[in-house]
Amino acid sequence: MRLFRISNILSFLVATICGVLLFWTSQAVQHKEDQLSEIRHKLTQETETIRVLSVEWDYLNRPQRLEQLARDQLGMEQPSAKGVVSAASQIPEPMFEEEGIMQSVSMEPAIHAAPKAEIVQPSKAEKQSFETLIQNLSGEQ
Amino acid sequence: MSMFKRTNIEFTGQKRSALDMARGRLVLLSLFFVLSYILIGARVVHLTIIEGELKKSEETVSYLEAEPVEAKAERRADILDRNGVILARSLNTSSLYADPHLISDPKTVAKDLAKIFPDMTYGDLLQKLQSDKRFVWIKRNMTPDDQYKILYLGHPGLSFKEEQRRIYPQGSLAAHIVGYTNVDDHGIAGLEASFDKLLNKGDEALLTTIDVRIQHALRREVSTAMKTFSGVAGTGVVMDVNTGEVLAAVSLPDFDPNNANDKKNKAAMFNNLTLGVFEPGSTFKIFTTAAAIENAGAQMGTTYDAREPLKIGRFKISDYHAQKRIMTLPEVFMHSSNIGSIKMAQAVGVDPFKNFLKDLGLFSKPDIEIPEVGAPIIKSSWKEIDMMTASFGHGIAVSPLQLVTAASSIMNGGILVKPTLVMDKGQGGRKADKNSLRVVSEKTAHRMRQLMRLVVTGGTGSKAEVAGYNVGGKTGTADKASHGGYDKNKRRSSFMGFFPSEAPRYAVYIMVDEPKGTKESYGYATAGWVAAPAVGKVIESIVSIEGMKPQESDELGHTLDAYVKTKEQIAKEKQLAAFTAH
Repeated sequence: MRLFRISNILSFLVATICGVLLFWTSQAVQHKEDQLSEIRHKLTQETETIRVLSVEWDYLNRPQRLEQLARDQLGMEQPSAKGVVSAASQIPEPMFEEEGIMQSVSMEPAIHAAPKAEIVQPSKAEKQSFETLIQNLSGEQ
Repeated sequence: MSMFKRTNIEFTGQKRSALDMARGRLVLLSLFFVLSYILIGARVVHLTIIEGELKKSEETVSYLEAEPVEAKAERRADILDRNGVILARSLNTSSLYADPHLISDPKTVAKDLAKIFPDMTYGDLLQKLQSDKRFVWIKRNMTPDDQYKILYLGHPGLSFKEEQRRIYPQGSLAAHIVGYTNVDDHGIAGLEASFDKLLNKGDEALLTTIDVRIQHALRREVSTAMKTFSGVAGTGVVMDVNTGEVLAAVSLPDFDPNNANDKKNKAAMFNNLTLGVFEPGSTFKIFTTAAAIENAGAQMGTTYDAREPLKIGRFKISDYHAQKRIMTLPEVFMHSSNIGSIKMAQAVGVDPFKNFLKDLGLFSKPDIEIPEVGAPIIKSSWKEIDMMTASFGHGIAVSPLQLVTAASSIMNGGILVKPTLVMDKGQGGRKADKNSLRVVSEKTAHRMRQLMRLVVTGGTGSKAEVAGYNVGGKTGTADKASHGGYDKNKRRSSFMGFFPSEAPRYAVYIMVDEPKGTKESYGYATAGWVAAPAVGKVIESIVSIEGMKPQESDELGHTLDAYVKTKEQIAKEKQLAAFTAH
């Protein structure tokens, strides 16, 4: 039959392949779009989480709290202006025994730290989560 | 070769095959159409029935057509400190509401809800759920944990609405400056109120001039001073004298903006720094002395007779640290002599003195970015008696912020500054502002720096000294006015400090209301004992926070010693006077 001439068959094949390809592409695109929107959604969620966490970061880094922790756990004190040396030349030179004059050179800190307070694990209220943060904030005084 | 060639027609067999071919074509064509219609039908079913419901709810816009515009935040913008530390931020939370019409069994629902929210009673909830409305709030801004519990209950008629909740991670640290919002996200006080519209646009974070570290140091010291001396209130400010930027501003008692709407405490809500106006007392002598040097040509050697108390109307003005002798200008300033200050003001003149104070902005409401600003109280007619009382800081009431701004304007070299709480992102600070107004000459400013330094090296403010940082300042102890007179036992003690004296960078002011003497202060509750050491400690903190190097020398210290008589000299003079009198 003339109907099944090579050219006809070929064009039919091409059309079929094109159709299949088109369908496949559109499906792939749809799939990618779904993925993309999912990623965007996750991104928004992550951004929101970061917003919450940065609030928590600043909450836990309140100068007041850091000062308290440094004092209680590390025995640190507020620096005094007397301890600031304006120039390197003002630091007294240590002298050693061989030079005749002996001045004790101590490698220990000048001010002994206060005995360390018992290390307290962060209480449950301080554990990082949004809800406790909000609760902390509204319950704090 | 065409199928339609007439030449083939005479052969029946050929004719037949042609007909067959035509039929075959028809069948093929109709098959094609049938298939097409089936396809179209299937697609229609798919689109309308299967996808239809989904498409309705979702946006049909393809993500690939255009990158979606970054969803404009519908949340209120952040408020940050000068280093980007969060002072206020809005976070998403859920609020629970109910549609009572959809709730079939209000009693069970109310019982369950009362279990989840211990702060709500069963009765109240039941009343809400049985109401005739279609919408009742049950709980605003709940925690995700509670939300999960309610979802778990699965009662119909309970729904959530996503809302914003304002969080203040620093708590009460800068409460009076940042302010707070109501539950509908509208600013009620502080920067939240004055920038309400801008913040609600959500475009850009508001960068304030506050530094939380310095703010904390100031709050700690004001609070310590208040506790040590059992004060009822306190306030303090740290200001950059050149730009007017407020690095720290404290008013105690304060409140926690995270739940400011729950409990309204009037005293805690009151901003003593900007809204409160007080008689400043001796710190006002800074302006009297500057006016005398600037307008009356007073020299360091100019003397004032402070031997006899002065009478103003029915009041007798005497000195607190009475010297009862003729004093030079530095001595008047250092010993904070009221009599000497009145004489200085008299030398300036009634109107010139008034205009001088006016130029410093002490007569008008200061311009700052929060709504809680108090206008100064000044007698409408400015007579000689008003000038006399104002010369030592009485009969005139200004806010501490105004006082610090005016003093900074003198100490920075004489250029009027405007206090500000918001970072200026423009042309690199406003020092280069061409509209800058000169209030005193540089020479006067230099003299004032010397005088303020003298108060710390040899006068009432010695406890504010921080070695290496050459603090200068002026104390102020003002008896509180009560029942038409002054209460000798109730006072406000304040200290206005500047450092380093040679080229002041920061002004530090602390005032404590109604301090009471302690054993350690030998019963004194004057500024030198209460406010000066607190300012010293704040300065110590600032230098370590800012990493400021100590000064190698003390240029201004003891430069005025020649004008100040030593105790021996005074004793000798008295002996001599007694001898000649005989």
